[in-house]
Amino acid sequence: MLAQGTEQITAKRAAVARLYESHFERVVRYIAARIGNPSDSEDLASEVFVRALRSVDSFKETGAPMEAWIFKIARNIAVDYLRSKGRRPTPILLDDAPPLASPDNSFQEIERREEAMLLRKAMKQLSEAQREVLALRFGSEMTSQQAAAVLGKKPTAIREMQSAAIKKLREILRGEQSG
Amino acid sequence: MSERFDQILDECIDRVILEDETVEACLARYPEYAGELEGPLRLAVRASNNFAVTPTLAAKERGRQRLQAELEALRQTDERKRQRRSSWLMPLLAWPLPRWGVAAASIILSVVLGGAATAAASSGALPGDTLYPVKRATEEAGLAFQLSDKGKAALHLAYAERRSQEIGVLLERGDTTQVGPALSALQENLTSATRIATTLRDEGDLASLESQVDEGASAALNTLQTAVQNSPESTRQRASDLFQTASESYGETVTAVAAVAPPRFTAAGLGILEIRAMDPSPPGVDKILVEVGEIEAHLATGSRKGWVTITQNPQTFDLLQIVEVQRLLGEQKVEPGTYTKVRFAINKATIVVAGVEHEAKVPSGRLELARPLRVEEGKRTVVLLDFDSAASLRVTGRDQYTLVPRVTVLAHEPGQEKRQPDKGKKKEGDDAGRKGQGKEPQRPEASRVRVDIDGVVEALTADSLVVRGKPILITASTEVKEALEKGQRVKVRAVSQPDGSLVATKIDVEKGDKGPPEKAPEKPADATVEIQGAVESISPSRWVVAGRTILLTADTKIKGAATVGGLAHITGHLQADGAILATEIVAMPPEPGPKEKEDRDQKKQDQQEDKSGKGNDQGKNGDAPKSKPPEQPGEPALVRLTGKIESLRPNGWRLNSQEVVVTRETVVEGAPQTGLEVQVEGKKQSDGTVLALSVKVIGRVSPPTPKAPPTPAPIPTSTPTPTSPSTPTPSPRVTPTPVSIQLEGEGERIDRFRWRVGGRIVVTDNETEIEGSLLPGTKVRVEGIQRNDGTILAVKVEVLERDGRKEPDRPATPAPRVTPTAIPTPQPQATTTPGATPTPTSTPESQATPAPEPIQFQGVVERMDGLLWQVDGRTIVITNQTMIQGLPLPRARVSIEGVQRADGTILATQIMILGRP
Repeated sequence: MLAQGTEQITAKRAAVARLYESHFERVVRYIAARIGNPSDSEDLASEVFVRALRSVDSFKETGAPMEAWIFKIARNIAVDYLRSKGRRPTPILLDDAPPLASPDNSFQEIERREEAMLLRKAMKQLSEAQREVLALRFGSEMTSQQAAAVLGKKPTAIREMQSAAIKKLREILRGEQSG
Repeated sequence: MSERFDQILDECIDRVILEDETVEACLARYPEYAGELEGPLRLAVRASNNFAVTPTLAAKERGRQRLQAELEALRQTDERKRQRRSSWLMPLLAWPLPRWGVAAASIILSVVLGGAATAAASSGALPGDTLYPVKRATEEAGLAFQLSDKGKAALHLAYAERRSQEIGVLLERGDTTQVGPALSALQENLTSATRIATTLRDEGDLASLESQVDEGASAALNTLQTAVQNSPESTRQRASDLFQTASESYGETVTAVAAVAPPRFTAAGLGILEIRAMDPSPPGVDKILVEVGEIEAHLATGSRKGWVTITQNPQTFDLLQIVEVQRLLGEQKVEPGTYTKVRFAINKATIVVAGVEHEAKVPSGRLELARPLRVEEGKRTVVLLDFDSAASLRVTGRDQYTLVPRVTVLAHEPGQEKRQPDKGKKKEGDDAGRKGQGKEPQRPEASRVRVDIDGVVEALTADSLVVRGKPILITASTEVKEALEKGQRVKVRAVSQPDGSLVATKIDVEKGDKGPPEKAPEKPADATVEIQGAVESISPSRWVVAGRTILLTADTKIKGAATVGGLAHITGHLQADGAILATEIVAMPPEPGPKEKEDRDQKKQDQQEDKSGKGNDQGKNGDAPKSKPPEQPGEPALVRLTGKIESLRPNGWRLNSQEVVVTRETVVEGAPQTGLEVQVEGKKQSDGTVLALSVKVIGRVSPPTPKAPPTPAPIPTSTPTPTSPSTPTPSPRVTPTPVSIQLEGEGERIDRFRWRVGGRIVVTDNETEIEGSLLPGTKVRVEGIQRNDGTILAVKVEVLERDGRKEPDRPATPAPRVTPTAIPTPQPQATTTPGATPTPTSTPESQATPAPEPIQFQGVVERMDGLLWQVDGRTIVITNQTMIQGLPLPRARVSIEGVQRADGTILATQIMILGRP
């Protein structure tokens, strides 16, 4: 029995290694969406998989995919990171710097950066849960079902939160533009 | 918002973001919600684009390395846990347990260690084992972590080789049920490696991969071939079929990778497959005559797959005569392609020991060698078969021998076909090569073959190094990337020279894998030996003298002009493999020339006639045979001596006060001993000595006499002819130095008269004084004389203890040891007793012999030959007392515990298989 357990652990470690190859970019995007810092998100994503390896024996074969478990770890790491920084989550933006006109910056580019700034401001006003849902849906490109598995909620709840978050975001942006 | 709307929005987000559908297309799916849906959907797209961060490849690689380090750390933690769990049992195991005790302990261990040890243990798992899936999963993880395509291909090849090892073990067990999946996995690995190889663009990567394919295929096919030979009779046909399939798969891979690898040459026409043989090790036997029949090679690729005959002419040769000299067995123009096997029939084998011929059994009668051999158009592929006669010959009873040929393929390389210089028209040469009609295949310009040697640097000078006992020259063109050190593990690529020497083209130091530590020398510390004998071959870095390999370095002092056929006195250090690292070589005058050989042949013929009664009577006066032809003026006089041997030294005997020189060419009948009456026929040499052509023991030993009996003067067969003035004056003769040997160790019986003690062959005869019951396993002390063939003629054998019990009244000496003692004899006349063997009490160091040194080290199993393993260049002796944990396989990393013996070998008490390196 003991041998069987070790066999499973080794197999799980191998599965983690495979997930690293296939999911690293998605984990980076999710964390970046959560903490708003692309460069830190790369190192934190590595940490996610290292932590997964160390605690692989805690992953239970309950039918839930291992990737959901990986994103749970990613979520915890993002939260820990934000706590350690003592600040609220900041949504990711393409560029934190203000859009400046230059020969390399076309009009479209300046426009895109302006929109990014607006989005950042708008997302700051969303609730923690709403930001979480958008990060999973748009950052890690998860389906509602997958996001539900990570957050431990029902897919209908995720869809409802998603709709509410987008609606609120629109309202904020409308207000910004009208104001 | 309704749940229905939430669901449609969610679906459209998936379609647009995950499936790249346009917003418009999604709106068209739900026209009733289009107005309400468009705004949120477009915002979702904007948000999604905002999150599109792509990590750098460098970041991913950094993460990958972190994970690999973590995996390794976890593996080590598992290992430590396993060791901690097993440590409490070690004191128990340290006691000699009865067999049932060991079995019980093993059961306990397997239950207790089952948990954490599983991961480590899975490395040796076989198909069908519980842990096998773990092994495969670990491999998959390894592939997942491999970034580069080349790395992935290399891993696939390594895994294919691993599969072949698994298949090999299963075949040897006769378990063919699990072989199928492993074979499929092997083929998948090869296919994947081939597929990746075809996508590689870097020529360096391709060349490296090609090299790995060649080496891997060779190792794998050799493993499988051995397994087929060792498989039970009932499953051998199935095993052979499986081998065939694996062989063809490897052949296809070799061909496919070679096709995309950088071309090595361009040419057209048929290729040439040339088979040569050599044998580096001739211990203790006069001759091994092998009659080889038809030689064939198996073409594994193309439309004309099948066996191709290289030669059908039976040929007999002495394996011991091809030491360092390659013997051409056959060559043939053949279809280009990948050949995976060479096979030849061995019709007959005859072993000559002490002049007596014994027909040896050849169990298989046929030898198949698995190794991918690429033959390319217009090129010559040389296959060098390295016979290991020491490992091949087995003594199965009194004067009964079995020859199970152990042959490895050293190297092969397609070479440019040389064209006739006087037919310099390229076109003609090409046509001749293509058609292969009417012209004999030309020999290659030089027998240059590529040799790859991995191992520890055993000796190092400014212009040479010794790896695995092979001296390799370093030249200005040798590619050496970093400073070399003795003890380093290196990979050497070398090219053999026409004289058999090796010149390194590239030396790579293997990182982080230094050889055995300085504290544990690989060889016995400065076991100085001296031998003297005929020089059989000479190359810049290696001679063969009296059948022994002599290694030369820049520090070797050579006195006199050495020639093949001449004598040489060697002083040097005994190496673990039996070779001698020479510190000094004194060359002596050459042996008789061709003309004298003719005389010798004539003399042998005379002897035959004498034996058949045709010769005239021969008394002690030694009349000349009637059939003796008239001698040529200036030729040395033929003499016949009869008398008792007064002294017997490696190359200088004394008979009736006459100095008699005995060489390897001397035909010796019987076992000459001091005091025995012998008849010597030979030639009087200009220095007064007699060069013995034949020695025949004709009498029994006489009681020791303080002085030699009256000496009948040698009677020349004709009027002695004064030395011709034109005869070259020989250089001052070096008096042969008798080497007296003391040796202690466990006696291993080879046959009635030969024992192996401390790795040396000890020969006994009727005159050997044996004290005690000499039985296998008995610890003995041997006093004797080292003969020129390296064996020890025992004067006295003392039985010290048996099965750990001391013989009554015999002082046990704790460690086996060899004490070669050179006895200086400035004047031959001064030596009247053989060797003046010192008694144990006269050897002070015998009292101070240290206890056997316990030794523990880790290394890689380089070779497994029955009870003798080679681990990191050291010879490990396995006994039935050796405890082996894990599945021993070649190239496995092992931990060895044991005691180092005087001859440098290590008597293993415990071996733990740690896994692959």
